[in-house]
Amino acid sequence: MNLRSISRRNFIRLSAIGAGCMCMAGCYNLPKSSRFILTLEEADILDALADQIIPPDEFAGGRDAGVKNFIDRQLAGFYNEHTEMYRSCLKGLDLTAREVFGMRFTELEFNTQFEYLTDIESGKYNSADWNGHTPSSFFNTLRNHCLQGYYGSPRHGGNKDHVSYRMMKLDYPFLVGRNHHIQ
Amino acid sequence: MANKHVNAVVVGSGAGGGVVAKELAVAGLSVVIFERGDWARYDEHNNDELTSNRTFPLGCYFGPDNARYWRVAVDQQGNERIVYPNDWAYHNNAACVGSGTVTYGAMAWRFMEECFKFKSTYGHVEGSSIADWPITYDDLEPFYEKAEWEIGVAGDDYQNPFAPRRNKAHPMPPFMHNREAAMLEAAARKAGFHPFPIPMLRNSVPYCGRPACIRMRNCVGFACPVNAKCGTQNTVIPTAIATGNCELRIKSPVYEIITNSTGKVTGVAYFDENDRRQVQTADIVIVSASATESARLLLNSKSKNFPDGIGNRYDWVGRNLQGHAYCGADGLFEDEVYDDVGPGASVAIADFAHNNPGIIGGAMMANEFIRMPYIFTGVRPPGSARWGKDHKDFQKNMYKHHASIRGPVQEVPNPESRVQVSKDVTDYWGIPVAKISGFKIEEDIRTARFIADKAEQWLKAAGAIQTWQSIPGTGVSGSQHQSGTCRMGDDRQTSVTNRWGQVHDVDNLFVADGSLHVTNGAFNPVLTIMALGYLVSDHIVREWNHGNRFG
Repeated sequence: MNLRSISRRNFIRLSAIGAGCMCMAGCYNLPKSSRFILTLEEADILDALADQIIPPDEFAGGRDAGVKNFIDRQLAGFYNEHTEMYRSCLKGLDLTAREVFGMRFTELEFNTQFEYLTDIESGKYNSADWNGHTPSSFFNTLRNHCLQGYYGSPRHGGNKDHVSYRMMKLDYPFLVGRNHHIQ
Repeated sequence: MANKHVNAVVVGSGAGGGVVAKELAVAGLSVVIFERGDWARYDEHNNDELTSNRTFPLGCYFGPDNARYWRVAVDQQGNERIVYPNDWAYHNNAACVGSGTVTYGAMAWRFMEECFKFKSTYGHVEGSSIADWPITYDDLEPFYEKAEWEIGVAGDDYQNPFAPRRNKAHPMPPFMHNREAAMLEAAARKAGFHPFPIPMLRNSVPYCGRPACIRMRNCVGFACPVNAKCGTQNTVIPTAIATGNCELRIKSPVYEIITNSTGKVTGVAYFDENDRRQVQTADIVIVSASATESARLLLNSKSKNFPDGIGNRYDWVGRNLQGHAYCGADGLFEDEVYDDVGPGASVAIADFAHNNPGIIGGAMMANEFIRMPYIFTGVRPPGSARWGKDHKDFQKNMYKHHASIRGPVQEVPNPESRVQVSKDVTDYWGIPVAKISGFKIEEDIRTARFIADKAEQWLKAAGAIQTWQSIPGTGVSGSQHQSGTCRMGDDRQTSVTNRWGQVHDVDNLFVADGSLHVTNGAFNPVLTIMALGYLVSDHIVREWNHGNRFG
């Protein structure tokens, strides 16, 4: 389904109907997440990027912590003005990867992705593929948004299961009053 | 239906306005307080760092909102851009009942005597508008005391050898230090400094019908869930309303001070909750909307008598915008220094607030409020990874091993740091927005380097294994400590109001907020703003009771 072809309001309505139907059928087959703005392809690239900004170890990486959900939700809301930049730059990032490495971004080895992003951050790439955006400044925004999704409150769609609070040995969920983290 | 005429209109319900409204209402004047925001509710906001008024990538829950508020920021190259409240260049302060006193860290400093005599202590500084206040510490002392007892301060100044003279102790005992502050207190003594507990507008014991602080980490930037933080919204404003003489009108931004043909103020124009233009007439108007918005309101109030804005005959309204040149140092420690006892900041020294050889001014220095998880992503030694495995490892392993010391360096004011009203940009209601421009002068950065050195020395004395300094940039400051834009003075050609906050040439118009500050002290300014609220209203009430209607 091409999400861009229907309005956001209709999409939310359709999702609600869909979720409702599935719940009546016993709650299986529910999609893991529903997206507002991102296409499947964009979502996959963003997942890989989120894992680069916050790599998985004994605690979830950006992908499993739902950073993509956070960004998608903000693009449908508070970060609406960034939508075009995300769309252009996720595409540009993938096109440049194909030119340089002959592979899609998501197909690159983890370490190759890291080196590629380090080059982007330092301003090495600048091509028309990015639709007039500066790759390094997109990367900077992306980095900030990923960190917000991972370390911010789960109410915004990221930080699944309070993973960052657990990692930092902070209480979760946060209650009124004081209770200390127990390892 | 037209609003009923009242004796006094107060514009803004923050530290200054809340105090003035209460004092006038208790004295028997009929008062309307205007607040553009709403009541803030802890339960709606909860512990959401991303919408707090400390870090606000997703907007400021405590206001103002990005949908209706914006300003123009001018960088040092002269480039203008539109900025929203969740951009640092907006220089935001909260817009809700109580304003910044809802979300502040609540440090309750009295300025030192030298803070009121900046020019006579340090001499003239080229390119600056450095000056002495028209009032001294002694003039303000009784009003500091009133603020401490009526709003509530926990502290013990007798442990601070540099504290100015006081007549009465703080009403509540000081807070106990958490692990980090206890460590730093011992280190300060070792380094030869004189540490003491920070005075706080926060209940250390039950006070005035509200409970004691429960030491949560989400304090600065957040509302208090148990009302232990003392703001105007839970002290003087309820008292004002309880007199029956005061109405609080929320969601009502005031956009113009109205004058008659003789130049006397007759009231204010505002937008109500449904964006309709309304008028509230009054005998006197007190503007307490913060240094940026108070200046904007005066500049936007143009008439035949005041073609450049009311009170602006000599082009001083909006000039001398100051905040603090914040600086300090960060340190990493072998052991965990974090014990999750909030709000964090509790130990201070005033050794370097004044009288530093070869330095202009100085700063109080204190340990920093607890860094929330997202803000901590920006806390790294120079040259560290900004993302990836190393960045995550630092977040995981060093969060509880980090301490930070910060100091609000008193700035030397300059007239080119200023608030103007934009000629091309209007807000949601069609009113010209504030335009903020300017810079810090070189002396401020020099003082900041001096203070940051001391901060690093303090952390090293505590056994930090790695330390680094933080020095401010040269951009204009303001934000929560914004001040100076309607400075008080005895000379009407070089100031906006007299020593009682009364606007020169307009007898029934007053200012009562940080705008009055001639200089902004080496300390967080809120208790001084409250004390000025008491000083201004003391003058109004005394005159009023003698039959003066400021006509």
